[in-house]
Amino acid sequence: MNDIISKINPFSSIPKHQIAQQIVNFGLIVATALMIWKGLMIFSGSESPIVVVLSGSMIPAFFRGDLLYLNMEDGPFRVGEIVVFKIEGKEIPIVHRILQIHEKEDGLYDIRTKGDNNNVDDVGLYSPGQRWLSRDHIIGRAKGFLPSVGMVTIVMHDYPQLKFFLVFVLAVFVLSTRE
Amino acid sequence: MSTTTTTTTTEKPIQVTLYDSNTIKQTLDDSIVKYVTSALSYTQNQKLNYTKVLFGLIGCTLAAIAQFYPIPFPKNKPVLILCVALYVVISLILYYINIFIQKDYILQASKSNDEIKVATVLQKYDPNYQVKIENAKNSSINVPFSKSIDLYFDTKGTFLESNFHNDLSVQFKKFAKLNVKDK
Repeated sequence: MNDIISKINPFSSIPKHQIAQQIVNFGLIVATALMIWKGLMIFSGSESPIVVVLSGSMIPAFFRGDLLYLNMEDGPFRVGEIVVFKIEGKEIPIVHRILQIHEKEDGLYDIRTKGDNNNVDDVGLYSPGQRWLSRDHIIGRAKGFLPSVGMVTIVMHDYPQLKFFLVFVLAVFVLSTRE
Repeated sequence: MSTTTTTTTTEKPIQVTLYDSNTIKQTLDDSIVKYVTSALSYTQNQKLNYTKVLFGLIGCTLAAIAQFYPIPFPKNKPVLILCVALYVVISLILYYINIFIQKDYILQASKSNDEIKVATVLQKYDPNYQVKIENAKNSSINVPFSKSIDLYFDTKGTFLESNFHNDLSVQFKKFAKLNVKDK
């Protein structure tokens, strides 16, 4: 009986500790990527320190596929600053420029934004009835960018099969490579 | 990739891809482990492997905590900082284990009062497979030797295991003699 099982099971010749090692190595690779991201979050103070520009609304400053590094430092906002904000109920953050600011005596802000390449400001993008952003909506200030690097993310977003395929290939590669 | 299937009656020959030095080294390493545990009746010591797996699991757990902690950013920042810091420590420990403790050793084994370690090196583009058998308690007692891998693989990539085991037998006898002399 054991002989039959040995013949059928291609993993029977691999010691259990080695299988455990392979699985843990795979987990550690995922964990390392995750921890690098968490470290970036801590360092930048933003919940999403790296974002990909998905539309052409900020041409010529940013093009579709650019990668932005965000930072959420304390301090006042300025007209002309490029910020990334998130609207409640909508999934994808928006990268636009501050067009108007009203600063109140208690330090709160009313902010209006606009994409450089858009004809109108962003009131139409905000929640229905909302006419201003506050600090809470803003998840980061654009502090740096890499042109075109985010194109990979966009392609994977447009073609989910490609994403699953890449993840599958990476998983197989990691699990099958021994130290 | 090499494939091995073992039965009590017959043993399928091990086939490797020629010029894939990683696979060749792994095949030879596996054969040494098999020879030491079967022919010489040593018991393999897995303590180091289990230690690495344990630290790896701790690292994965820290990552899971950082990811799934049920408070949104930035209120969970102290937890993130703690998890990332501990993860860095775990990574450094694993790195230290790999570089300074495990080094090139592929096997630690013991039998009655005897403990041995075996280290192997197969440099890239170098056909010589270097092996060092040493006493785990006294590293000055050791038998290094180096052989060309083409002695053990035919032109189709079949592993000539008996040739390899014969050479291992010679070296282990030499080691046993040295071991007894120094005691």
